[in-house]
Amino acid sequence: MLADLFAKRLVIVSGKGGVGKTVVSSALGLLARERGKRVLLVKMDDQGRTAQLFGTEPLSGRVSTLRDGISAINLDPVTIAADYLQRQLRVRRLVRHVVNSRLFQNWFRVSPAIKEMICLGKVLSLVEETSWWRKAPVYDLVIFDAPATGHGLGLLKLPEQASKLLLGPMRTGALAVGALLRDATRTALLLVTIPEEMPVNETIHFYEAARGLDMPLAGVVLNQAAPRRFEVDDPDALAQDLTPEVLTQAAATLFAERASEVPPEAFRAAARASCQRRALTERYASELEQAVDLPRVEVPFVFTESFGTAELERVASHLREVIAASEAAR
Amino acid sequence: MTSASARLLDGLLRERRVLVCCGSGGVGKTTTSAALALRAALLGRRAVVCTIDPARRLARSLGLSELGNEVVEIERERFRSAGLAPTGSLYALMLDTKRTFDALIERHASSPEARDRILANKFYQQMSTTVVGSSDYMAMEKLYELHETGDFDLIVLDTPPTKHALDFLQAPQRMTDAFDESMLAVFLKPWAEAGKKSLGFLGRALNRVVQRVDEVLGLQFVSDFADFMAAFEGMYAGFRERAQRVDALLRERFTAFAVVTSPSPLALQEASYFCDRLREFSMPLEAVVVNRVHRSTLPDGPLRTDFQHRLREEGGERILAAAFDEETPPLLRGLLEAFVDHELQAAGDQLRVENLRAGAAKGVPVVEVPHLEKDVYDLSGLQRIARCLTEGET
Repeated sequence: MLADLFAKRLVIVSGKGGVGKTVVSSALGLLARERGKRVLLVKMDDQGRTAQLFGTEPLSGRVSTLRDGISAINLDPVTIAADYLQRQLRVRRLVRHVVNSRLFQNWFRVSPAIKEMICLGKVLSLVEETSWWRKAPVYDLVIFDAPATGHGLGLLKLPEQASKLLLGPMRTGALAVGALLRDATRTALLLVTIPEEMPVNETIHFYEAARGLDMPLAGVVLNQAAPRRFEVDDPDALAQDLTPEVLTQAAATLFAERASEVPPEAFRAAARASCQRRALTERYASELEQAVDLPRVEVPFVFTESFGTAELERVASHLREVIAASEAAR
Repeated sequence: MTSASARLLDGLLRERRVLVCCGSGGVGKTTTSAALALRAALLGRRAVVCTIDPARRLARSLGLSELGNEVVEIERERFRSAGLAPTGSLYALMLDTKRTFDALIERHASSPEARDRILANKFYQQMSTTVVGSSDYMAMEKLYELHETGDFDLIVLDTPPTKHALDFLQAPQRMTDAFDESMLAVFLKPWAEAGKKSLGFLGRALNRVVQRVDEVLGLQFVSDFADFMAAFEGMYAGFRERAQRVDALLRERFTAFAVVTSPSPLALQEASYFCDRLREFSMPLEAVVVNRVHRSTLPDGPLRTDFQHRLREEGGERILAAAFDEETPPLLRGLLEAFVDHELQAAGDQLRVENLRAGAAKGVPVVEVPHLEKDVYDLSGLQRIARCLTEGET
């Protein structure tokens, strides 16, 4: 299912805040680039995360290059709106006056839908942007790291609602955005979640709503999945298996001559925690299995002190293996 | 160190009247808020916890499933079955943004007609339910309402998981800004009542541009907005005054802020931002709670520090690669992997929490709650969290 994403023009990555959307979309960007695609990562409200992962300067409201063939932009609604109004109205000084006024800024901030609609419009124009000398799209694949699902769903419903309310060029724009979002040949929607109650509930809710809206859902990524370290699932059964001999052997393997200082409980507790964590991952995986009829990929939790470029590469190489395996299976 | 911090947090629960818990989503903020309110009730106070969007099981265990926007007392029977006997009492409330907003409109509307006009306005309906920021504002409004009743010794407010602390700290100010009367006079009023008055040159020019903006961005939104503003006339003073009182309440001596976080890098980054912003706004930041901290299973001492040093130098993968081969039985292999996973997690959590302590949370008590094996969703679970928070028990 992941391999199919690279044949699209737009991949929308959606999920609750803190589930690792930025990491997943960045890893997909790396893999798409390996396949020769020119990639653009589109963010909203990035807060320096992408820069951290790629070791670059923070993103701005204009397209910047992260690596050869991978660009990124952090959408800023006010800048886009000002650009847009200037193009439409051609009265620069007054537009600047209006855009800079406190009223406009406040109205813009509290007004439902307008700024989101403007951002979606920008996504559309980035997807459709063509290079005149190559007569081809500037970006083969746009990966849109959508805002947290609570708002993300509103975002996806927006074009339809907006096209009912709007007039003139914005209406045409809204209709075009709506068509792009629904177009399964160009667009895919990827859900990202983690094995915890609230994110999984939100994913199920989002899935049901998005299916109702006929969105081209492509799959679910269960990120931060606990790795399976033991054959047994039950922590009590595992405790039975952990004989004094095994514990001594483990301590000797890792601590050599200091093994006698290690209390067996240190290994027992770690084993129990690992087993329970895996059980939780499996519980949420099966909840997703039952409620969400989409292909699912697990991305293992990365045990690390800090998450940077090396950790991003690890996630990417895991996904590369998953894709290779699924392509081999075909 | 933790137990000293925990005592300070316990002191807040005994003495203060308002405790605002803020933090990003998914860090256990609701659970922490509920546990703190429970502890206050056990200390003999009348405590209420106001939550925004609790996990279903937690809500059910508090008896919140059916009711919205109303204060509910947690029944004695629930405490008894959890083996608890509070000398005070515990109340809970699930905030309904829309209803709170409607109630506010009703309170301030100049006439029933103005009220109905606003409640029926499309812009208002969307703003009061969907707009980011209105839930922040309503949380503050609810806090003030609860405080005003004088029914409670302690109000614990679980704030919405907004990304920017700024949003909710500025919520009262921002909303009144958006409805500022003076702006209406300059800008929207002439437009809303087009043709009534003659305007100055700038007014006329702006008016034309706004009309074009309207055509380009979509007529409905802007005219609904204008209509809303017109109906809102006469309510500004009330709104503004109330916003000022909310702001004053947040700065009272009996008010404390706590930042809640988890040890994940992203959550800690946001927690640091929260701490900085609270200081910037001169809000009384009095505690930082770090939930779900993994602890090393090795005894405290050189054995642990040496192993963590080795992990940092060599990395978990290399240590494991050297520790087993094809011949290693799966059980031993799993055990070694699970142990290294856990130590890596614990070392990372500890390092990040220390960075927070030395950085953004400097001078503020930082209380750690260990990672618990099971999700917390009932009163005995909350009690367990409460003990970690206020006694430093693990």
